[in-house]
Amino acid sequence: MLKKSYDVKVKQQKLFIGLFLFSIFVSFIDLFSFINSNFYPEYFIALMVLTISSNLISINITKVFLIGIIVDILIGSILGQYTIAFLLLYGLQVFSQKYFLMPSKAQTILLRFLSISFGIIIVTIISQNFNPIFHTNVSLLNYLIIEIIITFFILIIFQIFYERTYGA
Amino acid sequence: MALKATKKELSLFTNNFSLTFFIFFIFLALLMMFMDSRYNYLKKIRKDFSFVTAPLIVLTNDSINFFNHFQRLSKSKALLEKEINQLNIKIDSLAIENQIRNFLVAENENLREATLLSKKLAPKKTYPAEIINPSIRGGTQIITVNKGRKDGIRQGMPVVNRLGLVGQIYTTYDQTSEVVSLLSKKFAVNALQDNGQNHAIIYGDAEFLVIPFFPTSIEISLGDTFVTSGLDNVYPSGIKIGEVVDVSPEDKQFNKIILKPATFSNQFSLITILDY
Repeated sequence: MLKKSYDVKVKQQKLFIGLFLFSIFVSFIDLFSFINSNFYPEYFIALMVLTISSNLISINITKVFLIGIIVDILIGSILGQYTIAFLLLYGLQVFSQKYFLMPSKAQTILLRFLSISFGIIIVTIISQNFNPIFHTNVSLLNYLIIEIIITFFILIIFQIFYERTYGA
Repeated sequence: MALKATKKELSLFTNNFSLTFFIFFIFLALLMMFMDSRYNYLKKIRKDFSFVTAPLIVLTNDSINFFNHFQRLSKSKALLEKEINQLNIKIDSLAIENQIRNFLVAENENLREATLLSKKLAPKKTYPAEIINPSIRGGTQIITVNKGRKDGIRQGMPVVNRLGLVGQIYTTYDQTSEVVSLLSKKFAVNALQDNGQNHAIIYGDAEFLVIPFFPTSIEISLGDTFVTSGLDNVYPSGIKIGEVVDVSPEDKQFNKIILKPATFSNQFSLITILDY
């Protein structure tokens, strides 16, 4: 693994804070209101998958837990919803790094896609059980598929910003 | 001499993965979920932290309101005059309806007194409110209104608009409140068929309202409307809930009734909160 220079580290910390604030902002705005859809990307899941998998900031289990609680207070249906999702994403990442080699880019992308799917499934199941105002226009399976696709798309956008921190 | 452990060396803060701490935090998260589902801690925390979240909400509101104001400014004078004329016509027709209603209310009270029935309770106070942003939090749609605890709004108050029942106040903050829509799966209301004879409990079912078990012996047809019965002491009686759009047999004894709500929260920006 390449060692990051101090400048890159600072840039990535700023990027994390920027993306975190952006995620808070867009989590309260119905960006797709013009198409009258009930689908909202899980910005925080996308951000955490990027942070955990690419070490956007130096992360440990306590930080993951605290970030989870903050997100729960802001947008969670129940205390612990995002916390448990982030912890399991962190666990999945550590497990895959420990037991599997991830040499190719395709495999890394696949792991990120699986992480997003895993995170969204957890968050949706908890929302469905504990959020009195949760409802979908389509079947749950279709809802999950669409959510995963749009969140993965958001992750790709975040990834582009992340790669730019390394400069040319 | 014993070496003092630095922060870096404490395993809780190192980047090394510890299975024990992982299991501990998972357990803690599950415990938080259990406690919250039992005691509703998140609501209390959100209320306490509303001084942090309120600026975020104001920020999102202001940015959206800026575009809305811009759109409103671009409306032509002719269009506004046309709207005013339409509203004047509506006011006239509502005034006539109100006169008839007042007569009916007086007649109803006289009849109740004559037949020694208890008085029907009317709302003590009404609070006109406006639906504001945010309209979503995380991945779910919410209805936020611009009246909160400081205006006298309490949890559980019924919310209506001129077409019918919208929902119920779910959470109150200092300046704003959140409404749970009648389409929510956890919503239920005691209802009365508009012929005044048959009672039923109506549940929210995402896009429609549903009466899961309605006796087949009772005649019901498409287009029949249901209103609040007032028996639950939560909603005043006579507020329109919805009309029947589908009747399907559940078994030999019961039918499943699907109702279309009388109003959708996104149809109007103005609602009324009732103190009942």
